[in-house]
Amino acid sequence: MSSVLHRDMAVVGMAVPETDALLIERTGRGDPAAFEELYRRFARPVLAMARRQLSDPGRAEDAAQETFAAVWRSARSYREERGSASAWLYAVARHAIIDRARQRVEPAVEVPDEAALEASTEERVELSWLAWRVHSALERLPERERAVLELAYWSELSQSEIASYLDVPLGTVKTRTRAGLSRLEGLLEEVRE
Amino acid sequence: MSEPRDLSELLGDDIPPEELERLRRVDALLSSVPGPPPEVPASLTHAVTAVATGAPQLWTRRRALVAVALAAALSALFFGLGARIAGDQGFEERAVVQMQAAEGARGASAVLRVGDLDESGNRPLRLEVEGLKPLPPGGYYALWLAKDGEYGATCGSFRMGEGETTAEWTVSYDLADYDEWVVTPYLPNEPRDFERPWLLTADAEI
Repeated sequence: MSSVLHRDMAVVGMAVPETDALLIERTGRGDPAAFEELYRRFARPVLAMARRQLSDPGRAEDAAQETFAAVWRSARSYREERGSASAWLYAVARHAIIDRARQRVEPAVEVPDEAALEASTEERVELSWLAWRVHSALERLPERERAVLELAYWSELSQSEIASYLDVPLGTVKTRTRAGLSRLEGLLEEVRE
Repeated sequence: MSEPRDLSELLGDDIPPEELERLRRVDALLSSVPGPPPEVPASLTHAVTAVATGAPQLWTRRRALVAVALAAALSALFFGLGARIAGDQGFEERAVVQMQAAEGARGASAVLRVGDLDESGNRPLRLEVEGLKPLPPGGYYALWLAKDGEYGATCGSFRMGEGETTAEWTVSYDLADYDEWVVTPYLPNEPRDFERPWLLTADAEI
């Protein structure tokens, strides 16, 4: 049934997004296009994690660069049956960032928000993984929904101010927020493990 | 991190209660994490794209440091001092293996650095682990080589503290005899027939 559906969608020109696992597999075979798509999906989550843990934006950028170099080098070792693609990419990024932190005398700066500062190691790992899931899922949203959600949650702007900023009616902002949250729910389930 | 908000303000008042409840869970998740960076620097995109295409990369600070290190190594060679390209761990890396966490170790991760055989036929290993729980006193974790889903040869043990743990060993096994690396916990006073979970795994091929 689903294969018929996919074939029909292909006939009418609707692209079915490739899974992260398939992109890693293709990257492992040396496919630059797959690697670039992985980068497009995960650059911001990787950079977000690096910036939370390294005090210097330049070092965070270096760590992000090293993360993707490691993805390119080690993609062929990924096995889908061992775990999700998102978890694998998360682990690669964590270790690239730790490597970068180790190259300096001072310890890495962890997540600079209250919850993280008060959390145990286990809770910090959990929080970091949660942030990774949310940021990765956000990258999969249509741009107009993602923009509205990011403004709503992290810009301190009210809905009216967002409407004004984006130059769209207030009703459109609410519609996009609702659609974005709903879509995000499904995407968060996909990247759960 | 922002406070959970009144969803009716965000979405309007005409949301069915069932949908509202589902969206409330997503709202709580979004409210509990810091935001992503607003944009990705073009310099990062350029540098990363070059990784796959082989295009010339920008001279980032890191590359400049590498170049300086390379120049120093060449200089040492020139003066007959010899130089050895090695990672931070002090041995030449043959492979860097990214271990994947199983269900019982969600959020844990490890990198296993595998060195070349030395003159005596021993192979150095360095395991960097993060996210495994500290075990009760007397408990420890062990790295094994496995074959066809069965334990094959033990490589070494380690305990976890807070944060990341690094352990180093040397093994004499022929890796071609095995197909998997596994990390498993050992608890004090566990029954002899206790079936230990494999918490981190990776293919043994290098």
